[in-house]
Amino acid sequence: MYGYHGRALIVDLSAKSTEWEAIPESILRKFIGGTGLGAYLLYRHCPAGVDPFHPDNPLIFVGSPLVGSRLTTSSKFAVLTKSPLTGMIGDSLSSSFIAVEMKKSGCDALIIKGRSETPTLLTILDGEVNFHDASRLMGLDTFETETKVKKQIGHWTRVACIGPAGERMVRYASIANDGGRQAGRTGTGAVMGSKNLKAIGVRGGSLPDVYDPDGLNEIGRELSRRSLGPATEKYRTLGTLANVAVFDALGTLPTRNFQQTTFESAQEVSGEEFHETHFVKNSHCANCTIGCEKIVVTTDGGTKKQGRMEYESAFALGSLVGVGDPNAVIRASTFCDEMGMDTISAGATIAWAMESFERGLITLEDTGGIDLRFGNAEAVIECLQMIAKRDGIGNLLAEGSLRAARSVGGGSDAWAMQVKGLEMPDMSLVRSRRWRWGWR
Amino acid sequence: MNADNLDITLTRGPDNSATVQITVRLFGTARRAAGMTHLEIAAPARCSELQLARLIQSSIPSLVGPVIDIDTLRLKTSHTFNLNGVAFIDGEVELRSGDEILLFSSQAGG
Repeated sequence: MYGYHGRALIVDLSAKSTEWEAIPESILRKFIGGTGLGAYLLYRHCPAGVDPFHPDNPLIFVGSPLVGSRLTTSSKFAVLTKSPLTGMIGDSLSSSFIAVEMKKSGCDALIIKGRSETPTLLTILDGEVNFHDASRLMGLDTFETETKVKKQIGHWTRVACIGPAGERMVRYASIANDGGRQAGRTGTGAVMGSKNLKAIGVRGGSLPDVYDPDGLNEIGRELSRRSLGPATEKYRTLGTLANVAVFDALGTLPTRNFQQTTFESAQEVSGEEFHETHFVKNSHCANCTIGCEKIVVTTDGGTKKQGRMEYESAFALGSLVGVGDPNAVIRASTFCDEMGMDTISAGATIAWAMESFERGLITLEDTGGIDLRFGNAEAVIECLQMIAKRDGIGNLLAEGSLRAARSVGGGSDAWAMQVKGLEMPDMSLVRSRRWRWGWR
Repeated sequence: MNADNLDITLTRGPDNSATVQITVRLFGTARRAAGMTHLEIAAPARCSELQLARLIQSSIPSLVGPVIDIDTLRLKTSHTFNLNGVAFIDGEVELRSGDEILLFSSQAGG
């Protein structure tokens, strides 16, 4: 067998035990890594009808045959579980060095079951699995957690962890890795929190053999060369942030909870503006030659914040909530990364609340005095803080837009912009036939 | 081929058709290379993608290289034209006065 180890590592947090499960070559050929193999393993290991927060719901990290090969953009992992937002298959992807280390650890997938009685740090170091008390890590944000774990078990360890949002099982909590990168969607961090698993530290041994190393290296060189050509021009310049101004011009920029498709302040939160006024540097994912990620910094007189910025975060915490201040968008997005929350679901749920507030279904009494109107950047930050703590109205919004709408009633589910419980990303459906089909 | 060989007729198109006044709006790399957000040009009422690229580069030579191919003076595959935010331009297009041509990256992923 090449490209795979042919086995999964199963960790039971309840029993503090581990076992290895063989994955037949026929299965690995049928479901080629990532989400495909993860869906197979979820089908195999998730009992029918289980609640997403039940200990029996597995949390599955899966790599692919190309992870560790140095082919550009190939070092990704997928996380699969029964989503606490949808109650269906939830998958989330992230490009990360932890994908490489997991594979070096001798497994094609890491399947985590059960629930620890106390906060736990799981380490897999050179194939040896250990369970550590993580009480001292609780309450730390994702950046602090990663730093502390590395200090505890070694600088070259790669870490996946949750922040305070995951600890409190905010239904759209994410799993952070590689210094703030997120496996963001479908609430995988909430499931990790339900297992009392604060962090995973991994440092590997060796990669599996590949069939034709010279041939793979040759393909790798050609892919790297092509990755710097016209097909990735946008990603190497403004990154996905370039979409903001273009989508606005095309009338597909979700604005004020999808009530409008153009935003009068689109220019202020556009890729062009971020690049001109807030750009610090490009950032590369593991083994990627493109470097599409933009590191940006606030430039106003307030508390300085620096973080990653993508189109999805810019629209969800910008036009979708009517905020046209790029400094406010940077602060909101960075705060979500620190707390370990999906920026899309967080922004979309707040946008639902803003529309509900403007329609009179949510009152000042409900919000604790927050004037939750579209465009109020301070209100967005306050809401995010309350969501991460499940404090006040944050406890309602931590449930996601669909559950919050069902709780508030008054027909507000009509403007909860989600599909099957998962908040919609990206693009207004009014003008995009592609997305209309994709979201059916 | 180079810019000196261009046949740009601002009063009549190459097929003797009338010209119209349009706005070209620039995004991303095009905007950064041009140092402007938009420009007004006269274009043939019936205009090809190639003619549009050449008309635009004659006004903004700095687009040659980053956006327009230096050898063919065609729009590079990394970029695309869109008419009024409604239709992507592939081949010829009918233009009316006041139309907006959007010039942006052809990569849509977010």
